[in-house]
Amino acid sequence: MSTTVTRRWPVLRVTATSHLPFIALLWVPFVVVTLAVAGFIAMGGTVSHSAIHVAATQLPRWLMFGLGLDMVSNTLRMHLAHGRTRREFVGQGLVHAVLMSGFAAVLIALAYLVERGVYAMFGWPQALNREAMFATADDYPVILGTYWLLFLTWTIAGLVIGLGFFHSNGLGLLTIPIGLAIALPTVLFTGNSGFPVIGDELVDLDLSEGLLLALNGGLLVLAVGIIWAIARHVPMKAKAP
Amino acid sequence: MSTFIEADGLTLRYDDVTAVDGVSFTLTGGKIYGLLGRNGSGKTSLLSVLAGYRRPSAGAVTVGGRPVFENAEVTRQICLVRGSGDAAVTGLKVRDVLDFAGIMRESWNADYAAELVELFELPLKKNVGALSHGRRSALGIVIGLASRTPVTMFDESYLGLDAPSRYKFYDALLAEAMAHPRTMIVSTHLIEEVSALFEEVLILDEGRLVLHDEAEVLRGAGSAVTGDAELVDRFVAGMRVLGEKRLGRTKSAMVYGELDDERRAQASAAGLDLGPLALQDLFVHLTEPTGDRR
Repeated sequence: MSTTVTRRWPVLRVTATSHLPFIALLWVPFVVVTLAVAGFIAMGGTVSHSAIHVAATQLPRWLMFGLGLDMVSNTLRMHLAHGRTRREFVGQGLVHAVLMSGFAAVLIALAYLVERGVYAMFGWPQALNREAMFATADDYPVILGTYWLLFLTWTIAGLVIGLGFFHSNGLGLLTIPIGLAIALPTVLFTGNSGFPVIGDELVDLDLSEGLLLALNGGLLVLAVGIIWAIARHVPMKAKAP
Repeated sequence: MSTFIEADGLTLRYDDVTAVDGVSFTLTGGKIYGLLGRNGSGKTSLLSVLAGYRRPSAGAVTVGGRPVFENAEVTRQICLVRGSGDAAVTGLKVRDVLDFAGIMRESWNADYAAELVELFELPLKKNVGALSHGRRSALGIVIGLASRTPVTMFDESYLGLDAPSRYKFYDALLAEAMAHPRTMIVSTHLIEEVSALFEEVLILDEGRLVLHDEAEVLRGAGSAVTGDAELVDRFVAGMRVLGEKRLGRTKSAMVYGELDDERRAQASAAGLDLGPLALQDLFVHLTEPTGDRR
């Protein structure tokens, strides 16, 4: 990264250098373990659908949610301690959320591609067990777009809840349902894949893709507004010794 | 950038608790300031507002005539290390914490940081969370000193350090202030150890500024009268005695108030030694709970 970028985008660089390698490191065991599970299934029966699709629609979004929390609990503290402002954090943090979720989405699309090669070797069908915004496991542009939006939304939800708790426990508790509401429509991007309580009911609503994307976009804008509203004056309390 | 710090009616409230209560002062900069106060007197709250960690509830604070809170040009010139430091994030290795400081701080001096790491024997590859309390404090000190910010503040940063490490910190602080003059504010209640460093002293009590003066003036505001216990008692009779120490027949009494030439001559004639007032005794006297504050 150039010196200018370092000087102008320090938060982005710190978050990128800590989160992106972390995601890349996790991607390797994620793919290996998921395909190994498919292998075990094949030993005792038949592999009938994409194991990557089953895993990717459930676990990674929670990781992105956690990284959203981490951006606040660790990065914001470090950032303010080094004389940077909340405004800078929000601006560069949101850019980072977009880049990081895009990076994770590329890796997930790559996982589908790797799986396609492995499945082809063994003659297994790479069918999708659950309806998603993409109809097949080789529709890479749509896979990329779907996961990018999904991961971005969950990262943003993590940021909202993280900022709530950074401010105070009371506000933190209040932001939990707000964060869940922000992430809620994304369960429909990949069919309901384990979202607690009302995921199945949401799927039954059978919302059109256009309406779903509009709803998601609106909630993201609202979430950014909430992030700024909390962050702009958020106090940095002293840590316990 | 000017490091002229001005607080005007600075107030910070947490719900119904007033941590900083209408504090006003002017620091001309380029000195080592001691911020003294008992536990809970509002030292951390005041420094947090000065660093832009918190927005004041009322009043204003400016550095170089410009407001601090959310003013990037000002906050970049300020480094506050509270305890072991907010920048020392657990979960990161010591090396990462220092690397990130280099990215975040334009004024960061990596070579000096490396010298300090060696001085405090910090393990670069170890996770911050795995460091002892003392080592974490030392890391905070490294971050503060190597930031080379025009305004550098340490809030009880020695906590957990053993005595040799504390003296290393004091020596490093003084050497740094001489080599790269800047405004340093050190909050402490280990006054005896560190008071020799201070050029100006501010004393907070229950959120209020009860004293702000040059350290030399304060030391001259009273005297330590030492000699035979009986003679000392006779000499200080009727004076405001802040504290006493006794070893065998020898006694030392800290008295508040200037001694005129006649009194000094009397002390000399009686064979009593007169020394400067210990800041700690003055501090204890000024912040002692009395009356309805007890």
